[in-house]
Amino acid sequence: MASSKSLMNLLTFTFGSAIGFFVCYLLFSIILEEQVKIQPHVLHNDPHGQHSADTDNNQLQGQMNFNADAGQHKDEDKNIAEGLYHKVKILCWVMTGPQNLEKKAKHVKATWAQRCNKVLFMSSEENKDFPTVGLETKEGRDQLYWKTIKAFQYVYDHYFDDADWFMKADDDTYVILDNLRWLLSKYSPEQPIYFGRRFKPYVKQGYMSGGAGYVLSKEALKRFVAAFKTNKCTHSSSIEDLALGKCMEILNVEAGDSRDTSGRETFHPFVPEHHLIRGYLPKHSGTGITITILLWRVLDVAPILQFHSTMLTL
Amino acid sequence: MLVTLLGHIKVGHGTKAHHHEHHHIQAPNKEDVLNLSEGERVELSKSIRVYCIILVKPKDLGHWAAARETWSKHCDKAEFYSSENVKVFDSVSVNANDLWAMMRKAYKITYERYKDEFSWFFLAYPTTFAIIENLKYFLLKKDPSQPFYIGHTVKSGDLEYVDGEGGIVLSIESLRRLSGVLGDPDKCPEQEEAMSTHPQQVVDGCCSDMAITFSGLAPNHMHVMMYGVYRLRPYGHSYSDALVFLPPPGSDND
Repeated sequence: MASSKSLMNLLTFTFGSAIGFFVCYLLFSIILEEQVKIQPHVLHNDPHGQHSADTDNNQLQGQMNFNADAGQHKDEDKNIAEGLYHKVKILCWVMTGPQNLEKKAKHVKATWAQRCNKVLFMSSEENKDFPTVGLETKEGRDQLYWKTIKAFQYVYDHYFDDADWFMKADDDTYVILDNLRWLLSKYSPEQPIYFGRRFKPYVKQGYMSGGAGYVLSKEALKRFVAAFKTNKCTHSSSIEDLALGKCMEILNVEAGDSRDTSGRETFHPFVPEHHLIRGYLPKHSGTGITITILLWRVLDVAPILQFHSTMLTL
Repeated sequence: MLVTLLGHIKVGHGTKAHHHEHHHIQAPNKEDVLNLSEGERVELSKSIRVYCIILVKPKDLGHWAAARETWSKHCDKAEFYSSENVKVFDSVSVNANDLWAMMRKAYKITYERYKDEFSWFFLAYPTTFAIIENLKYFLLKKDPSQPFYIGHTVKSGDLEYVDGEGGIVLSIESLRRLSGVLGDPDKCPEQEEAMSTHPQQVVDGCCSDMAITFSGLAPNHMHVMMYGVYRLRPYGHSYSDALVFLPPPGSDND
């Protein structure tokens, strides 16, 4: 009948238009790169792995001597910073491995690590020349948590009395110690607390991103080490930062708030560009792991004063 | 002719005649500046005005955008001189394709338009990053009515020239003289020469705390530099500078 035929036509047309609209919408939203706030599927161990734009051609050939022109600093007043250096003692331990000593750890050692009250380089093997502490583990992403436990154990056994705070960083992290001291100066090392870049999911009080580094108070370290003697926390996990975060929660170690007085983050899990530039999309590295960090909504790049942070190297 | 400052210029190269004097820039004494009154200091900092010429081509769009968004905002006035008109950004179109030709035209246009407004002129490439405050600090004691021509000097045999990648600074007097000879094909030949390459090694004691330019930066690096220079700072360090050079109103990322 004519009317049902035209009704069919109308339906077909409507249906077709609907599909058309939908496809166009998708196309446009991709083309215009709308920024969507999506819960990032962060790789807990390696949110920064894909940023390694290091090809061998770009490796530093030499090394800079930062103290060569010390005379230029004569107008700078560092009294407050020096005071904090003595008041807030930080032991830094840097997670590294035999294959990264020359490529990465060496540069950490030449730069920011010098501002720690004490620094240790933790590797699976001992290296007397560098020097590194041998943790007697294997290397690899799945060993990270085990290395972390052993590293903190080593620090507790040998250097517990030498510092108030114990910072873990990777060999591709950059830490501005002056600003870390400013954060920590407001807390007591006897408090069970730790700081880093807090992620909300999976752990009630949140857990600290491994890539951005984290720092434990003296009391937190004590509890963490004791937890493995009494089996309160699991020894093995393939996700280092999450496991540590869960353990901290069990031990009643508070996940501190590291944001500055304006509420801005001070610990950064990614390279500076990622945090500073709107619409920045990292290049994928050629590893076996597919990274599904989707479009990350970058916050306003507005003036930030009193900003203390840890950054990843370029 | 005792000193012909600009006898013979090529892209990124410049020479002075054999009798030229190679000035080493010295920053003014802090004591001298501190002896001035508050009002005099404000006058002093306002008296140095820098006009920035940035040479760009459409292929440099990424760098162009970054420079536009970052360091060029701290020039008293910055303009982009492009080989051809581009819809996305404002620029002065010079309708030339090689850098040397672009540079000549830019200098000529600049001199004609701005000779009464600025005492110093800074020319940069898209990959240059400059800290204008540090440039002004170094220019404090220089007299713009003298023919100054400043930058990262490089020696190549007999030739001593300023490498364009690091930026070139001209006083108004240099620009005036340059404009005079630019039309002269004997003094300023048309052809361009290859730029020298930069060594990969890092040198002991290379970098001043008051560094003025860096070159070869990618656009993303410009944003990171901007953050590092103007915002990020270590708590507890105080620099107590005697002068303050404010960027023009509206430059909002610091």
